[in-house]
Amino acid sequence: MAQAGFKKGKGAATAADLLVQLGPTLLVDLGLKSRATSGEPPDLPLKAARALIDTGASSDCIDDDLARSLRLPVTDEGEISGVGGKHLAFIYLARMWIPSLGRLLFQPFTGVRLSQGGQWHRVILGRSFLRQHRLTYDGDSGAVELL
Amino acid sequence: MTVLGDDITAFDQMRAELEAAHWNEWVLFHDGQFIGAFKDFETCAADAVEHFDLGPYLIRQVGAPPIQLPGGMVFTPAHALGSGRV
Repeated sequence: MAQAGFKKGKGAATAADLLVQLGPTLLVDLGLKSRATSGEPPDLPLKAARALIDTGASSDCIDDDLARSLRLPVTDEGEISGVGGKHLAFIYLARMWIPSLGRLLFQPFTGVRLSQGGQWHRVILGRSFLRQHRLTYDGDSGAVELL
Repeated sequence: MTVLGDDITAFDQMRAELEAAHWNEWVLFHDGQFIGAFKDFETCAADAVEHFDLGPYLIRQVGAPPIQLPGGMVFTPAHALGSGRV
């Protein structure tokens, strides 16, 4: 079981406050190929990237600048539209290792402008990721568990 | 901007055939050629990386709807926008 909430507060903010401000967050490793030898845990180039668990998204997203810096392959292209208008976008392929779950998987990630928007997270995990999990959200305590 | 133009064109030309034979499966295109259809994304992605490394290559789920993103945004694949839009 992975913890995606907050156990302690920071300053005047309680753990519950931090969960409201930041959202359920997992730390994940990202890249295309693991450098680990057989029998070892995956060794991907980017360690401990902050990933927001977002049930409002149907699939997963990655910061576009990060995807380019990791040289992730482009596997589709299209258009993102919403309240901010529309712009062209790519889908990238990446390996994601979640140490707290012991789970390694290939995922398609839509490239979005998280860092340009000043977002704290580098990755967003949506409902396609959650399909194999049970998420327990306790807003009162700030705890979030992922099974 | 267009990185996958040849692959997307090939997909569009084969779309009816793919929808008839491979609905909901993941398909792989490279250099404008149909490489294969796979039951799940993991297998398709592993095959793509093994054979074509950094690509580019097109990976799509046949018949998949647009992707709903955070904040009410939507990602619409190029094939659903019509030719010449991307």
